[in-house]
Amino acid sequence: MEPSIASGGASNRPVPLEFAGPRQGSIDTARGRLTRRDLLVGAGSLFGVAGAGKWFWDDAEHFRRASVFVARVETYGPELVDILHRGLTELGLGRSALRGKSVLLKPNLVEPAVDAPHVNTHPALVRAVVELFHRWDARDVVVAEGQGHCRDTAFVLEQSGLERVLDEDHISFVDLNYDDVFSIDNRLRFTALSKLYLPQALRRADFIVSLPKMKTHHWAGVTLSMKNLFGVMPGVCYGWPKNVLHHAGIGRSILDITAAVRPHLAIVDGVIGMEGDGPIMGQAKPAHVVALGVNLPAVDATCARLMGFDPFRIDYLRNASGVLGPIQERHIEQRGEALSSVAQFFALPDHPHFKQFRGTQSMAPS
Amino acid sequence: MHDSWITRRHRELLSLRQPGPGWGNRPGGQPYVEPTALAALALAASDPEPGNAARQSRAAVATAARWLVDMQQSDGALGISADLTKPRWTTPLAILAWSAAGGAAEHGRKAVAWLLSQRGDTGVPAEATPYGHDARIPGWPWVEGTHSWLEPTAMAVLALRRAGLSHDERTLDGMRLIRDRAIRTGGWNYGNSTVFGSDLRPQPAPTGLALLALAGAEESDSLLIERGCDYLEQILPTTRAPLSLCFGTLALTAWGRRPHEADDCLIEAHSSAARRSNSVSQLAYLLLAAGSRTLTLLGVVDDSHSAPQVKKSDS
Repeated sequence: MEPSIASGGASNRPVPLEFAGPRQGSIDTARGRLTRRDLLVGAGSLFGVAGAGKWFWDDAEHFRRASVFVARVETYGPELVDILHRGLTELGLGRSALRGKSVLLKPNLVEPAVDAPHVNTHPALVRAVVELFHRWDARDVVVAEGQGHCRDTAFVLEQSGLERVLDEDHISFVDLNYDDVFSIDNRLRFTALSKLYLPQALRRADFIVSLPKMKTHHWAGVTLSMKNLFGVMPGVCYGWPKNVLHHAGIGRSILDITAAVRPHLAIVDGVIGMEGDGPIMGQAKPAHVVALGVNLPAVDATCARLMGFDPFRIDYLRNASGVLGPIQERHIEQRGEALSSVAQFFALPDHPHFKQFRGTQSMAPS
Repeated sequence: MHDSWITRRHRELLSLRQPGPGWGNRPGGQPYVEPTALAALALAASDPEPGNAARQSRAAVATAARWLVDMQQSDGALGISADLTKPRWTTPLAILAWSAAGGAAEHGRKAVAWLLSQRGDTGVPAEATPYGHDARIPGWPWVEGTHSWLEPTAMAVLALRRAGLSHDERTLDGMRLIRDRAIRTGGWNYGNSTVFGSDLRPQPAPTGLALLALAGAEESDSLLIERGCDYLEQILPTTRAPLSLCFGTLALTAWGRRPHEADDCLIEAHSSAARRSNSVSQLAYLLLAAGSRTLTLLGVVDDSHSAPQVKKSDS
């Protein structure tokens, strides 16, 4: 497992830049990154034949493999703990991985919405993860969020129902918008941001878990474990919403932040997801799945497929391919439920803007 | 509010300051500009019972004001803390805190001049945007170089009004932006009213700030104000979150609709606020909501004698 920023002294560690480029297009050529042509030329000179370059390009993820577990989950009931236990065990995680660790759970709390609980990660899933990790002898488990649409953290916790769970189970909460911060060099540089400011809570944790909601997103296409990491960026530095990241490019920011934070695990709440005009104004979508994995691009690509999207049409997933993980189906070992048995079509609004994410097929197929 | 409750909250807020001259985001943490300015405002806005607490509060406000002076940068702005010199959205809070503390007038004027020089990015893409608001209206951003948002604009408007610049073009533009960002069904959020045709959800704290910034500049029976106040009256009974209660309650007070049960809500909220990590600001918000002079110190009620007046030529 790759170390995360939480392991201490992370600021000078290089990000895992096993650069291999995306399957389509180029990455950020304006900032000196490799283009498809560069790669082909470079590969050609190495192998001496153009065919070798093509092989290299088509197999950009050749050295990347990941496993993703998908579980069918009907409700947010107490069986969640057993389902997570089974899934994580299948992925090779258990007591030995969690014992003595300080764990930080990062749910997706975008904004207060009592009438739309599908906006936020369900508190029952947070509770189940905490319970399981305590069973596995984690030293401590904290929940942390730096929500982007509402400065009043207490209001978001209260209205989302998470406050009650935190209080009942005596779970600590860290407001990432107001934590002390540290800066690191932005080594991936998909954006022009030279430094990233991050909350100290990430450094205090040994094991970071991204715990997002499965939703469509009107700018990013889908919001899952990688986009969820916008919520670790401190509001005091980036604002409410985190407009600095919008100006830097949402897709590019997702990649830079994921490379900087490097969570150890993703657990996606798709029991009731969101379709349509996500991430806040869409409709509830009971998809009845939870997806787990240690490689975030692989988890998100799998979830995108579950939602009826080609991951290569999602800009940040396409650019993560080979750089941060695999997203091709043949490079992801599928465990648990077969995708075809649990896939659901997440509709998009019938507006020209959304065609980029799915071609002309924005609405459900007939 | 009972004087004894105010006195206990003063003592509590003072106890969270140690060991430095300002307040941190957590009890005893390194000082930050936002909680220090909020705490100074909160202590200045309410009167504890005469005695030690009152004397210590006055001294703490003066100390905080001096620390904020130390934090002021050469161009007049303040950052987040001594280490984090940007972004500088905290500057309006320092203007209000200095005004409440008295003195530091020159520093206040310099900060106001900086504030007047700032504006959010008003660039509008050539293609049609999915947003319902007019991005060309100049307001204030959280971070320099980005777009204008509701809360920093409302905070800037309050600071400028407190500085006697109620009729400055920038203040009026800020109010125009606030009106433009109102949600049709009532209230405000962070600053997007509609996206892709959907009305977004209002939130109490931005709604309260918007209504405070517009107080006195709008007819009380205007649809904008009525719907905003209606929203607050509906949502405030459902929350005990200090920030939301603070600006929501103050806004309803400013518009003559302070809820009868407001004090009870603040007392209840106090018991849960202490559990959270940023309890300094939460306590300050509760004291602000209870303070008898808060509306004056926020520039909502005119009190030109105690404000650092800025002539147009100074800016």
